[in-house]
Amino acid sequence: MNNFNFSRHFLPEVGLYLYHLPTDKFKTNTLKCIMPLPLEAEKASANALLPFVLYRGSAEYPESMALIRRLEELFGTDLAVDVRKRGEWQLIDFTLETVKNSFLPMKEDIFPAALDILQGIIFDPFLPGGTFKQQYLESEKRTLEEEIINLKNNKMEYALERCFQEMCQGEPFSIFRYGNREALQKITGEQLMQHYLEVRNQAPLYLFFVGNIGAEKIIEWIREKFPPRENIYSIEPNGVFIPNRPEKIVVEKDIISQGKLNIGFRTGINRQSPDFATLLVANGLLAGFPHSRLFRKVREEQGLAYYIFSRVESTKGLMTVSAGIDGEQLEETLDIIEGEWAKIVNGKIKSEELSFTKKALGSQLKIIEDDALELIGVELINAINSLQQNRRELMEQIEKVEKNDVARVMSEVKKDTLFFLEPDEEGS
Amino acid sequence: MVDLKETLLREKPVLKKFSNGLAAAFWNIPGYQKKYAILESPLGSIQVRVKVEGREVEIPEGTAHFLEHKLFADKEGGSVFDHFASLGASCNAYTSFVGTSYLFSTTENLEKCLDLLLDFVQNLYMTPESIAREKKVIAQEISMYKDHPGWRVFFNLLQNLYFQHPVRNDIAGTRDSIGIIDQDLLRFCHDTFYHPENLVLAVIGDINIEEICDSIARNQARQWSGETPSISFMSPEEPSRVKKKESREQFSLGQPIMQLGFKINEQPRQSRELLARELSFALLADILFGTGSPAFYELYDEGLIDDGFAAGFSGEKSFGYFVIGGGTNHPQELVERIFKVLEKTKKEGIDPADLDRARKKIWGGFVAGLNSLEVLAGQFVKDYRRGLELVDHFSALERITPSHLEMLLHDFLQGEYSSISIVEPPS
Repeated sequence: MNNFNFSRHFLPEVGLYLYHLPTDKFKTNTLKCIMPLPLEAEKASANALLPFVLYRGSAEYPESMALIRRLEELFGTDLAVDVRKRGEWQLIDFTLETVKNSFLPMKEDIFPAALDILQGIIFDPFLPGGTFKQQYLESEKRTLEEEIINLKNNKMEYALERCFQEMCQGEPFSIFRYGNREALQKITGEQLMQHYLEVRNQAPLYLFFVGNIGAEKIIEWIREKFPPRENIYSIEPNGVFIPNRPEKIVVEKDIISQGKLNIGFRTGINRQSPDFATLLVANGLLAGFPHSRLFRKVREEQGLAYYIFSRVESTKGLMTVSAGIDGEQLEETLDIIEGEWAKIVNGKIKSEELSFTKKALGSQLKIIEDDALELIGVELINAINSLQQNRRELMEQIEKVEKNDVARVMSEVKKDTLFFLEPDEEGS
Repeated sequence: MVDLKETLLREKPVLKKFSNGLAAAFWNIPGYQKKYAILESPLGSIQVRVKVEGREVEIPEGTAHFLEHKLFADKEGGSVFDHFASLGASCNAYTSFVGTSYLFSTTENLEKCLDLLLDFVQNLYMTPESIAREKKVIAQEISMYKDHPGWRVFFNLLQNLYFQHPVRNDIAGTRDSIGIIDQDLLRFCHDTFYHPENLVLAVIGDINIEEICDSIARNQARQWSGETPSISFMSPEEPSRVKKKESREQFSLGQPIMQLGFKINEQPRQSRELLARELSFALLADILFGTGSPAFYELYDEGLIDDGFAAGFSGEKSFGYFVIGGGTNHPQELVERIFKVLEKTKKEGIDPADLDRARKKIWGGFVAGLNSLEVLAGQFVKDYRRGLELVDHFSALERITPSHLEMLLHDFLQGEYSSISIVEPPS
C-alpha cells in the first residue's frame, strides 16, 4: 500500500515535469499530458484548434482512420483530446488509458506503443510540404466553430459561461475555453504552423501517470522518445482580486421551459490563501451538498427548484450559485438565497450542518484515491497553482474550521454578477 | 483469451438470499476507500400495465419516478439526505425504463448506511402536502429535461417509432400524468414492487462480507414483508411498423441534431440471446460508424458530422432500437449517406479483420469500466435480473461471427423500420 501521493520529477532537457503515482489498484494505466498556455484573447482560438488538428495524423500514421485503428488494435486504448480552462490557463489535454498487461490475452505490453502514438501526435505530426494538411485544418476549424455555436444547446452550461463572461469582462477568465468564432475563422495554415512551433518549443509538458509502471522506466522512455526542449517557460499561479463596483444584473431571454439562474461571487481566496479550507466548508454549507442550506430551503421546503448548487473556482477565486426555476419565481428564490446567506454571515450555523459538511468534504477527498483521473485532476490543480499540498493536510485544515471562520469568510465574499436566462413567453 | 476471463473471475461476488426473499451480492475489493451499495426495484417507467394477483392495473406515466422521489422523506417529514450526511455518506437514486435504483457511497459507517438505505426504501412515508410539494419539484425536473435538445430529439424519435409501447413516454411522466398520482397508488406500487422478494441489493468495496450479511439479516427481520405478490408485466400490442417516418421540432439551439432510429422487432426472449444481440449491435455500430470506420472521417471531412456522431443499440425483451446520429448541418443528406453505408455493407459483408478489431476495443473498454465500483455493481444488478454473470459477456463476445452481424443488418436495419427525428433552430 502507498499513500497515494505523486512523486515529482523534472526533466529539464525535455522541458517536462513528470508526476508519478505507482499503484496496482486499477486495471488500466492512465497518462495525462497537459500543456498549460496563458489564456489570451488573441491566441485562445489557435490554442484550442491545435490539439484537434494534431490528433488527425502523425508522421507515422498520416491518415486519421489508420491512427484510430492502431489505437483500437491496442485493445481499445483510449486517447482523448480536449482543451480546458483552469483559472487563467488554457490547458491542452491528451489523456491516454491502456489496459494493463495482466488483463490481456498474451500479457502484451501495450503502453510503450501507446506512448509512441502520443509522442508522434505532439512532436512528430503529419506535415505534408512543411505544414498541416489543408483538409484537417478546415475540418477541425469547422468542428470547433460548431462546438462554440453549440454551447447554446446546454442551457445550464451556457448560462454559467455567460455569467462568467459578464462577471469577468476585460479579464482573461471571460474567454471561452474554445476561443471565439471570428478569431477561429481567420486562422490560416501558416499561422497555425507558426503557433504550433511556438507551443512545441516553449510550452512546458506536465505528465501525470497512475499505474503499475515505475517512474525510472517512464523517464527512460521519455528521454528516448521525446525531443530536446531547453527553452520552456515556467508558469505562475493567478492572483485573485475583488473589484470595487456595484452588483451587475444581466437578464437574457431564450425560448426555454425553465429559467437558469447563476450568481457569481468573488471570494478573494485561492488555493494559496490560508482561508481556502474555510471557503470549501462555507460553499458546502451553502449549497455544495443535498444537506446544504439552499437545497433544503429552496427545493425540499419550497419546491421551487429541482437543482440548486454552488461551486468554487479555486484558481481564479470565484464562487457560483446555480439553480433552475420558473421565470416568475426569481424574486422568491433570490430572497431565500439572500436570507440564508445573511444567516451564515451572522454566524447562525448549526453544529450539525457544520459537521455534516466536514464529513462530506472528508469523504470526497478520500474517495479521490479510487479513481485515477480524479487523482490526476487534483494533482493538476496543485501543479498549476505551484502547490505541493496533499489531501491529508487539507483534510486536517477542514477539520479545524469553526463557525466564526465560516461567518467571517462569507462576510468577505462579494456578490458580483447575477445572470438569469429567462424563459421567453413562447417557451414551454 | 482464457487468461483474462480467469483474472476477472477472481472478482466474483458472494451471493446471498435472505429469509424474507431479499437477494444480495457482495464483493470484497481491498484497497478501495469507497464503499458503495445499490438497491433496485423492478418498477421502471415502462411498467404501466401489470397483472398483480390476477388483477390488471394501470399505472400512470411517471409513477415509478414519483415514488423514487417520495421515498426520500422520513417519518417526521425530514430528508433522507440529511441522515446519510450525518454518517458521512451521500445518496442518490434514478429511475430507468426497467427499474428504480437507490444508492449511496461512503467511506465509513457502512452497516449504518445499509440500515438507512434498506429502511428508507422499504418504508414509505407520505402526506398529501408532501405529495403536492414533490409534484412542483418534479415539474421543474421535467422542464429541465425539456430544455435539453438532445433529450428532445431522442424522445421524439421513440415517439415516432412506437405506437403503444410505454418506452415512448418520458421517464418522469408529464405535468398532467403526475397530477393524478395519489397516496393509494403509491402505496399499492410500494407494497407490490418493493416487496423484499422483488428487490436486489449489491454491496461493494473493502468490506467484511460476513459481518455485513449478519447486519442485513437483523435489519430484514425488522422489515415488513407480507405475502409475495405474483406480478406479471404486460407488454402492449405493438405493430412492427413505425408510427411516424419523420419529425421535426424547432428549438433554440446552435446546430440541428438528427437521429435516425430503427425499431428492432422480435427481441429474443432468452437472456443469453439478448446479451448476444446487444454485443452484436455494439460491434456493428463500431465497425460501420465508429471513428475507425471508413465512413466516419469521410462524413466528417465532408462536413456532414462532428465528433459527437455515434451509433448504438438499446433494448430489453419487450423493445429494442438502434440509433445513429448527432449534430449536423445537413440532416437529410446525412440520412442518405447512412443508408448507403448500410446497403454497401449488406452487399459486401463484414470483414473478419474489422470484427476482430472492434472486439478488442469492446473488450478493453469493458475491462477499463470495471475500475469503477459503481459500474461493477450496476452491471451485476442488470445481469442478475437477467440470470447472467459477468463472464457471460466475454464468452458471448468471443462467439460472435461476421454472419451474426450480417443477419442483423439484413433483418433489422431496413428502411421500413426506420424513422428520423430532427431538432433544429428556428429558420
